[in-house]
Amino acid sequence: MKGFVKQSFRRQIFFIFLVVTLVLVICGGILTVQGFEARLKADHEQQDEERETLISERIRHMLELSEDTLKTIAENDTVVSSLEGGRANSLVVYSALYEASAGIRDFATVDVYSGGFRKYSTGLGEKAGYLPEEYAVLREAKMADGGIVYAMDPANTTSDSSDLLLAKQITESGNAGIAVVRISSAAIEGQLSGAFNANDGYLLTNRFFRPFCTIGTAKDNTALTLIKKNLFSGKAYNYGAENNIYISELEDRGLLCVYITPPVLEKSAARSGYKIIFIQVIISIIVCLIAASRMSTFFSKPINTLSSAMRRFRKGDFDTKIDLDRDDEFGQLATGFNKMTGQLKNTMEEQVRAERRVNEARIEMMQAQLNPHFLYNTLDTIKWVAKANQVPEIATLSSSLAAVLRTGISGDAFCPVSREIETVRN
Amino acid sequence: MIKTMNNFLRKSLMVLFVTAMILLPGCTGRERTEAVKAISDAYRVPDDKQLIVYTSHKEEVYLPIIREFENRTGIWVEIHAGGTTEMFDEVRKASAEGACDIMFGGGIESFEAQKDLFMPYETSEKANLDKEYLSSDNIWTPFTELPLVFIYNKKLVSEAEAPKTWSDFFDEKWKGQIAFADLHNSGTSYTILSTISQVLGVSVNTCVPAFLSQLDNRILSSSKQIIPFVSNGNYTVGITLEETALKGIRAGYDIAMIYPEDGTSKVPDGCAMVVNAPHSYNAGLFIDFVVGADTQKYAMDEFCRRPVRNDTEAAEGFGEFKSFNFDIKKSAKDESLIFELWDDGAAAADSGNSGSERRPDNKEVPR
Repeated sequence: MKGFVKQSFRRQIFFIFLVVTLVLVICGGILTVQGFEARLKADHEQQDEERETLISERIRHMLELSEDTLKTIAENDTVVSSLEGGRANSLVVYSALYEASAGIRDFATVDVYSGGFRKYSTGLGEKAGYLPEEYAVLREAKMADGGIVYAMDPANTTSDSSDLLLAKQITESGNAGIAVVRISSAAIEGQLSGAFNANDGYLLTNRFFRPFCTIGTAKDNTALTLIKKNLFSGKAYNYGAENNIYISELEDRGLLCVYITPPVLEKSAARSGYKIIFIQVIISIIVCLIAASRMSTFFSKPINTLSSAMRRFRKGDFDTKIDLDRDDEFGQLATGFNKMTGQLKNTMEEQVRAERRVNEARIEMMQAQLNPHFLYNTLDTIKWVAKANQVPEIATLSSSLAAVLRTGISGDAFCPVSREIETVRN
Repeated sequence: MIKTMNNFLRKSLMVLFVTAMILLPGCTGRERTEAVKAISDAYRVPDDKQLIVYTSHKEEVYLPIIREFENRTGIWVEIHAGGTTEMFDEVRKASAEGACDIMFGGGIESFEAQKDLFMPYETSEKANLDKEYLSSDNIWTPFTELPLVFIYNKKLVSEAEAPKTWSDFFDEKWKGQIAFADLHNSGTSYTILSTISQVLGVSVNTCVPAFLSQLDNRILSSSKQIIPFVSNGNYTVGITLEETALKGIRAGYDIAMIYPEDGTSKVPDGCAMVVNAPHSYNAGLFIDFVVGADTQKYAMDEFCRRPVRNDTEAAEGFGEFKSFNFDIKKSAKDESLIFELWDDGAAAADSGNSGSERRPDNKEVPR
């Protein structure tokens, strides 16, 4: 792959463009989506927390009113004496109970138990009620040393809901007298109406996450199951949750508010974001291809022209010129090349001319040396003809003349004195 | 060129990654993370505070007991609920994975039949429990005793003529008038047939076809229908658990209850520690708790279930009855034969009634 890319300038440009663009598009896109998501999430979390605080405040207000009612009843002598075996008119006791419970009767009923049996009640009808004395709420109230306990109804209960019972022991002598404020899950839901969005869920639970009431989307039980599973496995309670889950404690009452809201961005929205990134990647690849093609042409055309000119120049075409209509480095390079070839051509021509002159001079010199040669041959012929005809004086004369001539046309710039003396004698 | 670019890209990616690492967590909100961590840490359930319970009891029975156990011990209970057969199957799977501590509910004959699923545990309350139905090898512990009783519609049947003994049900006048649930849908029906066989001292080969004949092909699909169908007069008599009958009476149904004069079985439902229990110590605490005085009294008062403890005074409504030594092992041994006889008898009744008019009660299972 690397070799394949390296073999082509165009591919190298495409590869670099592609990598740079993809890095920017993918990283930028993911960061944008995640950043957007994180910002949006933070804003929604803030809104959710404000709403959760509002809900908790309403619950807290209900509980505080109920606690005040229990304290008032515990301090009411009429109620207490009626439980301790004193003679009491039930109308007077009820009057005290209704007065004490005036602030909570629209969402709760007040019952007073003695020995597990309901003796007075602000609820509907006069049906006798019973709560086990040694089990659940009454037992807890007896063990709380006059404190208020928050418990589930041991009867009429489901895994989704249970009446919330606030109980306080108000007498110790004889059968334990215990005042119980009963808030049904429907009453809790009624008190919280309008505090939620349609897609929200809410649970009021005990410390083991057993719900007193389950409202809205919490009814499918998935959030509660997940919370418990995470707590059992030592993970954060919202680990793996698609929804936002907010849990807050209602002070030291052992009650928990669990508020559930849908995710800020639906999965489809996030998927759309990533789809857009994918489309951007495809577009980037196409743009890279086109840009790489254009850029490579832009860069490779002058390089190819230059390369072709160099090849022609190497083959001896000193008239090679590059014609580039550009002002950039490639234009300057072409001008430089043209200047270089021109100078080289001039230099070569000058050298040729000089060599030609030398050759001509040599020829002339050779031509000059050619005439004395024929003269010597003639003088030798005369010499030998004179000798053949026995005229020695002519032979001697021609021989001396030849020696004088030879000395005269000698190419040597200098000669020994002896040769000069010889020439004089001749 | 590529080499240079690679170096450049590598550096660019590193810068982007580090930037993302720094920026993104900052965007998610540190306060929120800390709030989640605080609650998670405060309510994290350590291993020694966990218990996994599989139960075949109804929600109204197991939920208050388990919630009370949680409140008293601080042990968190993971609940898996379902039918008896389904839960025993689930327990077998979970036991193999070490993911179950307790099986709570189901007749002790079911525990006896699947002994390999459970390990012995001797409850600290053993001395206070009814000796009649105690596991010899401590494999299971009884939860509550469930005697079988007769019921009748008190507007249609006088007390004098109501069946008093098991053999009375074979009287011709009760033919087609006995409310009885399909054996395949009711464990109680199986216990009833087994009890009839043992009380009368006849083999199941004789008593099952004879009883089927008395039902006259009128069989209910569920044991839950027995009380309402006797009360509304579709049937005049029936056989059910004491617990169910008492609840029906409390609920105002027009029925009365009779303890069989010739004795009845009171096969308890059980509770046992499962093999490979990951929280066996807590499982032991749970067993001790369910047979403890408080839970036994609570089960009696709330669910009309007869306590297995000797020291718990019977509440109003619970009468004296003659008990006989019901042989659980024989009952377990006869199980397949009883089902076989039931299916054969029902098939024969079907073929005999082919072409005949169906009974008007369309809630009955057509056999």
